Amino acid sequence: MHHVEADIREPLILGNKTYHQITEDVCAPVEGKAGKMWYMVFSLAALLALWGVGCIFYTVGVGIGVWGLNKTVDWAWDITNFVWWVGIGHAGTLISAVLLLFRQRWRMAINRSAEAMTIFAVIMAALFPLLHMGRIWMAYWVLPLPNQFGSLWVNFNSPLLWDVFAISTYFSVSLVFWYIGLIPDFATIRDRAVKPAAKKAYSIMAFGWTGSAKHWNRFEEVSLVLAGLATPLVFSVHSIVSMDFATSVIPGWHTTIFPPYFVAGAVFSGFAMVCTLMLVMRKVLHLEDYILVKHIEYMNIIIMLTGSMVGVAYLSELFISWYSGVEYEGYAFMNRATGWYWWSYAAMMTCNVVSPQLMWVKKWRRNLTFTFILSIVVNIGMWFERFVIIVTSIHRDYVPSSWNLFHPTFVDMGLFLGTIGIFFVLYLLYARVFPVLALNEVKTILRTTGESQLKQLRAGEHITVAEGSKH
Amino acid sequence: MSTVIYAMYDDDHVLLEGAKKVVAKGMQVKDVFSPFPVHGIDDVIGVRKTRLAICAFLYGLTGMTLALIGMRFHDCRLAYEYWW
Repeated sequence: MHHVEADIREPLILGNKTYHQITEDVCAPVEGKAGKMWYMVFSLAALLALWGVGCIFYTVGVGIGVWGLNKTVDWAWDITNFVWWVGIGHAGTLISAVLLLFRQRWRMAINRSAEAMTIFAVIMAALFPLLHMGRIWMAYWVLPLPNQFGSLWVNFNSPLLWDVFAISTYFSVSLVFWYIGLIPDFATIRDRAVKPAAKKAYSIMAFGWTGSAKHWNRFEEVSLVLAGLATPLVFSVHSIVSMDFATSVIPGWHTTIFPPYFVAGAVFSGFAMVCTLMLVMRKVLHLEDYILVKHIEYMNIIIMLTGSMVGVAYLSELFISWYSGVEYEGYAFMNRATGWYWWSYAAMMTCNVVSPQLMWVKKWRRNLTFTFILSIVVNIGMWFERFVIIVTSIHRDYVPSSWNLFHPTFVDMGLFLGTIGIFFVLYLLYARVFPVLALNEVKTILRTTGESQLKQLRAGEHITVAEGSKH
Repeated sequence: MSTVIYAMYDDDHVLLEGAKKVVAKGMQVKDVFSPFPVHGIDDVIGVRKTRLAICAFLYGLTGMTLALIGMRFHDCRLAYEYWW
């Protein structure tokens, strides 16, 4: 059966690659020494992380009073950060799971790293609901375990509890999916390893993978099953997170548009973070032949699409705040735009509504520097969106005598920056120990989408995928 | 007396064609090891389809059923009389 590839299809792997070359390119960062750049960024991240850990100990030791919260604004940076991190995590699952089900081969160069980003982002996210409990040593009380407090059960009617299940399910499924995909690649590194410590470590991590045909058969089936499991999670997890707000009665929170709005926003900020990470990683790890402008362009298109959905949600919120005739809702939005925190609303609108629309311009969405700057802008905008939703809605709700302002303390800020530090520490370590590209998956598409292979296919020649091949 | 032959390839298409020829000649291909899945090899060497997905679905169905029953009888007063 002669494979036919349409002429308009661009290659997904540049250069004159062979299977061996792909292995060499991807295993080089794992097997080689780290460059100076890695050490510099790692030190910076580690410092931030240490500061964050210090803030965590301070918060747990002294209490939530070290944050800027008060009776009126009882959720601020903590929940903003939580939703921000969970949102970022959604892109990885979408790339791994949803794009697998849609048979999008371009996901293969980025899915491993995007999934890693998801896992680390979810870990960072989970920190906040745990810390904001105050008495974190009683965190196990969220679990419905029979007990002797008259058997005190958790409130199953509360989305805060649904979050516990949603996010732990999301984390475990993502972890399993990511790890299973890694097993054959660990086996590749194990087989190439020379140093006994590395060989031992990767042998354990590879779970005895042999590459047998039957194993590959089961592997692909499991990937599809996990993708099928993970896909509804992408939609349900952030819908549940949005219900932390939507199921309340606070004006500005109590709106049914939140679930789809939040899911779109999550994918939006997640893909922006993937762009930020991939643009740096492809340069530093010399993977420019695998993570192409094409990938960045596709991700930008998704950013544009979901950014537009978020923009539409903003406009519907504004419209309904007037059309509903509910004065509290109307005031909530007047306050957002013109009140004390107007600057955060302006930041949110500019970053989230204006910036993705710039991606309609083909030249710009294929420009790497532009994408990098925009991806950071988007993430800043999405942080402000959560801040606007949370703080501006509750600082002035129904009873004017309770109206109050919120000012973050150094611990609020330190914790947020600290989680960014911890995230990058984890990510940089991952980049050195784990193969950042799905080796086995990328090899399956070399024959049909490699640059030299496509040339050979279109010229009607035999396709070579191995060195010294005479056929 | 049976002979065991090991063959090494550097191209997955050649491997596939080779396996097809060998099976056509009546020889049994015990196993094929590769660094990535060779699509099409399963039918050639007789790897049976897996029922893993069906099992996963049934496990999920079971779990959901148990959870729904648990929630139904947890909130129902009748359940309390039985439990305590």
